[in-house]
Amino acid sequence: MTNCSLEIGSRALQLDLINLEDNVDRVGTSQSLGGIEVHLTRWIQAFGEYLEVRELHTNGEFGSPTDLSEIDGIDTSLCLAQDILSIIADNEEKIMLSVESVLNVLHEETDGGVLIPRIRHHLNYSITVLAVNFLDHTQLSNSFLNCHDREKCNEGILEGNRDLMPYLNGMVAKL
Amino acid sequence: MPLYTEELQDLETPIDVMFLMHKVFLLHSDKVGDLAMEAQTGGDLSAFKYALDEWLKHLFYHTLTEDEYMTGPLKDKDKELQDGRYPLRDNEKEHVDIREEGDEIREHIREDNSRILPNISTSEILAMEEENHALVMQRVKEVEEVVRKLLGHDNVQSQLRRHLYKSVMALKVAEYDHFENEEAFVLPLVKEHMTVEQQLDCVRKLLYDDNDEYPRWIFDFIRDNLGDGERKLLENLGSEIGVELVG
Repeated sequence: MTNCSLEIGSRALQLDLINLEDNVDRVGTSQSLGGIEVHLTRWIQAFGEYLEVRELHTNGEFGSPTDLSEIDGIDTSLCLAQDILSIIADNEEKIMLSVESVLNVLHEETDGGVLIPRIRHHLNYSITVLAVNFLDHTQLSNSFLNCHDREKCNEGILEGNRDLMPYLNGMVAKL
Repeated sequence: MPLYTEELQDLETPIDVMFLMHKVFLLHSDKVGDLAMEAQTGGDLSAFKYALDEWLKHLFYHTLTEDEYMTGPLKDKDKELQDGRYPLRDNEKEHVDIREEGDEIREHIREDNSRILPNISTSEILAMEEENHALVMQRVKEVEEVVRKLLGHDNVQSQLRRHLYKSVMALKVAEYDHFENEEAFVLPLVKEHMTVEQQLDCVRKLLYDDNDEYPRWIFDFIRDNLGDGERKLLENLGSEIGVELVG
């Protein structure tokens, strides 16, 4: 398995969203709506930490954008790297908007902790949108951002910042 | 909520057949959703495409027929409810939304037409501070090409299928909400303002497609997906509206 913090972090966040979907399925039996909100809040915290990992793979400290001249058939005079970084930033904003949609369903559509079928569908769909947006984002980030040294990456970022990145480290530990 | 999981014991009036139709459509859309979910991991799309075509064919026929033969004749009876809803007008608007979402899925499934950068909308491009939008579009195309190369064929395919799944989920949600609204707000109006004979005419149009080479395609689909008791209810209604029971 790769040691790159960016890849491990994105995998951990993806799996946690799958767990979130499973937990929604259990609302009404072994899971509560309050539990879903706590789960989502933890995910948001971990996502915030993941963004720091992404930044460390963008600014040259642990990684940097791919040199597009190394890819066959790309006109390097177009300076497209900045555009791709903008797409990555836009995707991150879309992820936060998706999170907001999930919270809106939880706060505005549920009543007294009861999840009727109609709202369950809304909740499932809003989580699907979040998961799709997150996967789009990680596929592009992981393809475009190169890790300088995978061996040092995990030790230098995740392992070395257990106190600063407790949520992401917690999810990674479950992988 | 739609009578989705309950077994109907009786059709009080002919228009109650809608409960049976909605139930079958929802069961079928669950199947399409499951196939779309499975398709995300790869593999052949033919089973999914077949089920999707069937779903959309029914939804389109059903909603268009309702507009013409169910809510159409009642339009002057449309009154504002306390929550601000106009049940008949809203119902037709929901039909339009459903058909538009269905068209989008059809468009999406033609992979050549799918954009890998769905996050850049036409309105966003038009809002860009560029005098020449053709230049902007050219730039978008170039960026899209680079992103395709960076992602690689497999990732591009998985992204397309992910978005397809998301679109199917969106239509499922719209369909469920619509059926629930229709059963709560529109069917009572139909029962109030349409005679039994008028309801039978409407139901015949909903179940029997006079313009098709095989007019029973709706009736048979509904019947084949019901349990014994509800199938009997449908067949009894079928004989009232003159659907010949074959097969």
